[in-house]
Amino acid sequence: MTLTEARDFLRAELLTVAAAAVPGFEGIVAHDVGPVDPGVMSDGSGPDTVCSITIENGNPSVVDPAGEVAAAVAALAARGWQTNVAPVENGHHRATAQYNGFQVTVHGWDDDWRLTLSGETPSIPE
Amino acid sequence: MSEDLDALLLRLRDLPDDRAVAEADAFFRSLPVEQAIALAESRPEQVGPLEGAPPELRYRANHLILVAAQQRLHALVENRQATLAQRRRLVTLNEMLEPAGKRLDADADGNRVEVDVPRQFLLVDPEGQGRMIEVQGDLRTAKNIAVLVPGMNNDLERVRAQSVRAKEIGEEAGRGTATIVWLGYHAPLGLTQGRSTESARAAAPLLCRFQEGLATVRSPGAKVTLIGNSYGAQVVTRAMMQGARAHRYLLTGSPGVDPSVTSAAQLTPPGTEFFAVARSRGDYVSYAEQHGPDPASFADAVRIETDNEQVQITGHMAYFAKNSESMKNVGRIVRGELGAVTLAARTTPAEETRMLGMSWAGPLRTLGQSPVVVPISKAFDGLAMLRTVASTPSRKTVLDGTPRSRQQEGPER
Repeated sequence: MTLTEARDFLRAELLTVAAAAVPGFEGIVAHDVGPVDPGVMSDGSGPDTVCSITIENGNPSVVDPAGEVAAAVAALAARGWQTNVAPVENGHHRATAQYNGFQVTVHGWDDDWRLTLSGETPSIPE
Repeated sequence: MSEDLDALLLRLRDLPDDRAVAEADAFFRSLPVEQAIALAESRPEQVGPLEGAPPELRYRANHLILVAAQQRLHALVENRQATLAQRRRLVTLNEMLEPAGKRLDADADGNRVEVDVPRQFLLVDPEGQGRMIEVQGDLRTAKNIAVLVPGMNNDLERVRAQSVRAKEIGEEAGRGTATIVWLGYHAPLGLTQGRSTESARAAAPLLCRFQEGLATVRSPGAKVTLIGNSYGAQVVTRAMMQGARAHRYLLTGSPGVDPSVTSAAQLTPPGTEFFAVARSRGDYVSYAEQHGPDPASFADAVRIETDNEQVQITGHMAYFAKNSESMKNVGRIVRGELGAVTLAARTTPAEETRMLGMSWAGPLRTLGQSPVVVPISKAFDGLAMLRTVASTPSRKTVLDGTPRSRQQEGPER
């Protein structure tokens, strides 16, 4: 799999899961800037080997982070992702998922109608 | 008005940071809005980097600096007069003029809307190595603000990757967070420069003044977390020793602090709410202690956990790895949930690097401080330079990525 293919796969997965998590609404691509160096904070000389994508979804009239995170986790699991739901921390609902080196984080917040799904491809040198 | 600005800049030069930013703040508050905008647009080079000036004006001024630099480089590339470095820089400037992304919001009637997120720069220096300070989020209303100081080999060409890292920290910390990538210094380029503390010493007063400026624009209850990673940790500790103002501090993968510092208490400015460090297993940079003692070894340091069941990180490069415990802890610290921060066992470098009954941390420290590492560093730097030249995009690719008639309005006050 090339990095471009991995990026396309991740975006499609996140959009599908985002739609499953919020009934009646499609997610939007909030961030998807292309290949970046994952170690840039430590040393900017490394190659751009990963893509990071963020999808947002939500219904402004419904604040249900627990239900939406649970639905996202169920959708990820049904698609073969290995999921993990963290205990709620002061209103932060957080779940993670892994699949063949891909990483996804699902964030929901008690005071926010928006659900964030953020994913990263495995490191693939171009 | 322009003369007043010149007089102000002259006066600020020698003032202490707190008074300088207060004067700049007062100066712009005294101007009618239209005049302030006109000043930012007519004197972007002066207003763009000015600590204490309203961020909205600085965003506008720095946008204009970017547009001017982009147009200059575009002409050079088009006329086949651009160097490889200028070609690379044009690609970077094009990216810096693109929106940061989109976000969901609700309009006055409660309907869902998609909103473009503009790029916001508090500093743009497009010349040479380049410097920049990028803000994600709203500095005026944020409850929590994270300032990230990256390490070595970070020039303007790395702005995209830095922005992604800041975005991810913002996601971990939640809504109401603003993140700032502070590449307001010339990070060392190459191992040879990285062995010196010269860049950090030059950066510290700039970071101190930036932190003071931040205090004038943030909401009174907002909390600021200053995060230094790798060489950026050296920058942050030097700034802390000069009183850099923040509520919380986090150092990850530190190459060591000034040799005169032997405890966390000695490092933290008065009023510090939280100070923590991270050292993952096998972090060769922290073990080498090239710049002084590793703060993760201080008896009074709070050392955060970096690993969890899903993601185990080793070495120096992965403190911000997705879903790692260190990344989760960064989010907890930035949003002020300090009781939820997970702590690491107080292991020593010798315990963390034991292989076949022997530790490699001690020999690494000896090697890192030995003169033999100098020629090795130079050879490594030469190879890295060749790689950069080989990855320069073609002239056609660069020109194709530069729209000629784009509406470049940028953020407005």
